[in-house]
Amino acid sequence: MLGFKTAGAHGVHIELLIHPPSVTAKAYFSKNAPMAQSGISVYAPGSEKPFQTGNTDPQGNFVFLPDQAGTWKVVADDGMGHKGTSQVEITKSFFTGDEQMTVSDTHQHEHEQQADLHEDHHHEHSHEEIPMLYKIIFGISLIFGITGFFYGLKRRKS
Amino acid sequence: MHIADGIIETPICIAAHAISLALIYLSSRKIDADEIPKMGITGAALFVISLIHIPLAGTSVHPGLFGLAGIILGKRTFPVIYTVLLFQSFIFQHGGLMTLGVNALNMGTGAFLAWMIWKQKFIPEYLKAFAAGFTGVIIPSFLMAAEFRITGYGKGIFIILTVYAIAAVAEAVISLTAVGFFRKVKSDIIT
Repeated sequence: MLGFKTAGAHGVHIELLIHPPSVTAKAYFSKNAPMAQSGISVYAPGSEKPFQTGNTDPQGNFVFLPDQAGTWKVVADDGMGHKGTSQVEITKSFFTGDEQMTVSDTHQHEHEQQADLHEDHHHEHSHEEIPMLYKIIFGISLIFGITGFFYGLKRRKS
Repeated sequence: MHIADGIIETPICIAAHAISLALIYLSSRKIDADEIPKMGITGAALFVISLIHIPLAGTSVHPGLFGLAGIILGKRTFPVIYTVLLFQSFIFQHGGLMTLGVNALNMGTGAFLAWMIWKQKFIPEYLKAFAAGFTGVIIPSFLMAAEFRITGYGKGIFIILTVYAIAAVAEAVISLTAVGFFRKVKSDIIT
């Protein structure tokens, strides 16, 4: 089975489903909030000029057909300041029909990840995202920690 | 409202960072120790509230509480907004690190103007709370739309303002409710 990761923050997430001969980019803000009718640009390996541009469907999907092996880049942009980038490595086996369907998932604005087509599903699961609750607790702890530090500092001075 | 990296030009982002750091210094001067816990709690609320996002017109909006933060913290709001945006960027990939200064200035301006409204003596309190909440969203979205226009990016000022006007009304109601709540349970939390 394919491993889909979920996230709850407001950042842009792009999942790339590789099913030769095509790749489907699924762009979303969170599990239940697809980037509907958002702009998508696909960049071929080593190219600065878009290979293909268009808009996602109401479910945030966009399909393209790679024509060469290498690292393909997908940029999703809703025109409202939300932008995400994702990369996927397309190998030669993609074009020979030996490749199985797999998924690559990224969830960052500018940081870029790569997913190798040869990675098995165990590896796909090995870099699971940190649960949202942990992130919230971590962030609040940081804020309270800084607050406590400055409060103590100020109290000691006065 | 959190502008991602790669949209605003780098020199503008660097200038915004520099202005933000200067504003953090200016707005943190002569701070009283008793103000710091209030800043921390407000910061934690701002940090968490942005996770409630609502799909709207092909994009995603969320409450920011910048107007309410302006009401509660006054001139101490900016360092809180900057810190919260920094952590949101690091932890949730929400907004960018390069655009952190731009985002902080946009939202800080909204909070500052909300505080200005809140300080007016001649306006009834419920009206001030509503207007401050509305201002805390609509001003940053206006600034964001203006920046997009300068850089030639995005969907245009009318669409952006229309989408965020809906969010601004929702925030105005939240501010009004929060002020009413504070007046009942702990009136001195709002000046």
